[in-house]
Amino acid sequence: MKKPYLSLTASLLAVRRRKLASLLLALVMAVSSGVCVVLGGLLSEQEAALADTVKSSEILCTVTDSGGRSDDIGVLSMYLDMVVGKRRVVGCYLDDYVKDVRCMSKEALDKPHQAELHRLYSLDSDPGFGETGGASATFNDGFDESVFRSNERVCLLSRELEYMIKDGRVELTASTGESASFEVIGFVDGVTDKVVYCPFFTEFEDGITAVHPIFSMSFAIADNSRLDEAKDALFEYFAKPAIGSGSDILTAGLIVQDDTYLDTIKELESNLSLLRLLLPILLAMTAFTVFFVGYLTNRRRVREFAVMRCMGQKRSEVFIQVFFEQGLLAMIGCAVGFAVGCAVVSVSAYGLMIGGVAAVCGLAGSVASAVQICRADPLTLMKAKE
Amino acid sequence: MLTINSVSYSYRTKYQTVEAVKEVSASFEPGRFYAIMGPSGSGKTTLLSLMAGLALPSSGEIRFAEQSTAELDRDDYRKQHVSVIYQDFNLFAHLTVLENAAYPLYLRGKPKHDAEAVAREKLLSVGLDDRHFGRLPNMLSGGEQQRVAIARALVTGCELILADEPTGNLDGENSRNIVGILKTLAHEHDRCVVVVTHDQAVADEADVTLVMRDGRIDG
Repeated sequence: MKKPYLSLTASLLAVRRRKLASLLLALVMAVSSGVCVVLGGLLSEQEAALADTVKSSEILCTVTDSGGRSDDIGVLSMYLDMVVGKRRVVGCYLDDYVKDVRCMSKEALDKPHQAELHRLYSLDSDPGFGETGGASATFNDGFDESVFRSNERVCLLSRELEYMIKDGRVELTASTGESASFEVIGFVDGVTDKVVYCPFFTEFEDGITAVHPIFSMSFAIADNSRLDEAKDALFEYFAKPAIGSGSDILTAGLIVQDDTYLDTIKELESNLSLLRLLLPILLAMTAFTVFFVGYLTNRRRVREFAVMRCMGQKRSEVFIQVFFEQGLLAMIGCAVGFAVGCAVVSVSAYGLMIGGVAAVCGLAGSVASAVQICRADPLTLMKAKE
Repeated sequence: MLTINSVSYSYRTKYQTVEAVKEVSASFEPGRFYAIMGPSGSGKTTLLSLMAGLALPSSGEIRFAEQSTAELDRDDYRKQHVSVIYQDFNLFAHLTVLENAAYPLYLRGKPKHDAEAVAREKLLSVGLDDRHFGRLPNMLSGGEQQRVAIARALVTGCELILADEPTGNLDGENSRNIVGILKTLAHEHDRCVVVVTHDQAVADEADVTLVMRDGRIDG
């Protein structure tokens, strides 16, 4: 059995000479595939924006006293134990859900006189640091902030207290009378008060873990994609009144500042839903439009195809001929649409994939059109005269 | 060359079954010019279509070179042995005269240059010259278009040339010219030329005239 044959000369002549029809079909495909690429790119961008928002947004949580204020909440350092994973809460550790913990406790020192002791979990736990606070720390060689989590007997001093240093150390006495010697690892500039900064969990000489009233405490949600789960766990502990009856009655509250985050997510998801809805409609329209335009432009050529059949072309050869013409134009249009689409939105694998699907839909439309057209019966052509 | 034995052909329309050709027998030889005459609806174009292998008879058989068209690959039969000329020419509007004439050779995969060399020769043989070759069909008169159609039928060298009312859209002088060309093809190039016509003047030029009436050969 002979294989179907394609006459390139005949096909290319038809493509070249029927300029308007060729242009129309290529244009339809260019627009369709271009829009698909743009839509795919937008979808990709929105998905990336959503992922980026989920990943990079900082949802700040503030632990407050029962009155809703975060100043001097007057509760136990047990809260810090909870969020940094030292104490297990409601069947899990809260540090699974939080990051960037900031916690600070203040107390007066007897020695040095009129100085204040700031117990910090990290430097930025103290509002005096950072852009608004104006304070800055300078560490001695070999030290950095991380030492605050590994060594309890270190401290930073405000410059005013430099005179207290003996052999690189300073003797501190708390208002409770306990005292201890601390290694000075650096100085703090930009503060007006006499302040000693030491790690939050510093113990004094009696060896008993100090229970510090927390002055302020905040943290961020560690993984925003698990926000609901984190909120459930955090509120289970912080917001439910009188959890842990008896001596462990807790009175603190928790403010999760997720309004802006949730609004942003909602808007992005709304955009995504719309784009996802549009995409299959657009792809179906691409296939249908290519079919329809191909069919309409070729319907005027039915006699031509019937004449080809009279000349001995097999139905399959006529099909290949029509499909090649339409497919070629569809692919040229598709390439233009790809190029324009990629110029409009940033190139994404997803956008290209959608453009590829649009190309396949366009080819499917070409096949459907070619099938319709090559059904022309040459006998009808001749009988029309009788 | 071509023998028709008791051929009948019927087809269904939406409302009825039409018996277009009834028990027709005839024989066609190379080197002769045949005319098939008859009123509209007498079945002459259907008979021509059956001879062209565009459909198979409902009963009876058509034999070409001693082989039934039912046994042949009819697409191949049309490609190798039959050329059809139409009343309204059916030239491709987007192609030039030269390309129209060369088209059957394009479809056979012949290189463009070679195909157009053959087409040029055939166009010259039917009385068209270089000035016409680059024109589109709508720039030609009816007679010129029919000459292009004839040249297109000749390029493949088919033995059997079937023409359906080839002079139907032409004036008297052009008709005479076209008939003259077809006669020459039969008599000087040994082709079997069969023309379906209403025109008695054309029939008068034929070597053999068959008259069809109500699907049958009359007389």
